[in-house]
Amino acid sequence: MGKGFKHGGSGGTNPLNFFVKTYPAETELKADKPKENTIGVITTTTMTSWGFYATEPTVPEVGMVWFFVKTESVVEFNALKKNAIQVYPFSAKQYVDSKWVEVAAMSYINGAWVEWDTRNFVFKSGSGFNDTVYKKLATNSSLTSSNYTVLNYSVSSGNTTLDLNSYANGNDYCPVAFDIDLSKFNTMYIDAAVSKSNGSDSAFAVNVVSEGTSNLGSNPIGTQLNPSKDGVRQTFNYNVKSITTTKRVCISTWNGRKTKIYNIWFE
Amino acid sequence: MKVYVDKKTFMCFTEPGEDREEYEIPVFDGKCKEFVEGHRYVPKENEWRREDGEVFRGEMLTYGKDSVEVDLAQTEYEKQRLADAENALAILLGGVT
Repeated sequence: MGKGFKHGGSGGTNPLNFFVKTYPAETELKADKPKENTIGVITTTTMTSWGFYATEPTVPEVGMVWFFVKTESVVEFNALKKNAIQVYPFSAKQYVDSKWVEVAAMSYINGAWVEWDTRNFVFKSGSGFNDTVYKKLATNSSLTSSNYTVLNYSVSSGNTTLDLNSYANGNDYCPVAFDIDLSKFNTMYIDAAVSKSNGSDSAFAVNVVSEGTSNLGSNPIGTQLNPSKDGVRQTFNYNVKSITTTKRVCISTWNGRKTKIYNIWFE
Repeated sequence: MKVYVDKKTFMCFTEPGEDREEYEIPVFDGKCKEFVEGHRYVPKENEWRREDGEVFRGEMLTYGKDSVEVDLAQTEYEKQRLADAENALAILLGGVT
């Protein structure tokens, strides 16, 4: 059962038309049937407070949950019992270890849980690969590069991360690739923690090559990353607006570097 | 290959010009003019703001023009190069006694 935060504390009449509860896992959230207009937040960190903001709160406290609001939402609701204040939640983050960390949030509407997140995930932390978004995930045995040995990536337990761990030998190349129709999207996002190695700056590369190609060294058109924060989780974005066809997207690392990917999505 | 990048738009050019900075970008080796000039290169420690306001930080190399047209130009260029090479070979072999 989740823990809840009720505005107004003890005594008096609660003017709010919704509740906020936390759950340690999605399975517990989905099993619960709370009151209508309950916002469920999935987190194992104690929620000390919450608030709806269109921009990042300037004075966060540890454990605070920030509900990011936009001008439209799949879970918009009226926040008050009397009168009306329309709220448009889009995503949620919690202040943990001096930084904002994304947390999953859903709303209980008309007797069912509705996800806030409508992003098109290829890989989502906790859920793994989503084969409704990409056309085909290339197997590693079908990927080659003229100068490198292809290694296997791995998915951590609970589908938490997609791990690209290359060996120290410079010729060991660790890719994951998928074919996707990029005509529908403007931006690619990769949420990852990237680790340097051997004193080198760049730690992973994103290449966009022809659909279905097995040779990553063939006409690569891509982006080379030099992460600004070694080992720290951050989100990288790439412009794909001018790509109007299906392409193979390859994410790779090499030479002893490790890349831990939490989420890959397109908007 | 040496390319010349516009300092504001970060679009690539094959010739130097005003407000363009020179970069060596190996991925463009063997590529035709239309292919090179169909790309945008944002160098490291630079930022480019797309027309909708989204900001992208370098280093990033992506299509700046319609990818289908850019790729088609390169394909045609390679076909022509192959035809030219075959013609040259035919001439060479035809001259052998």
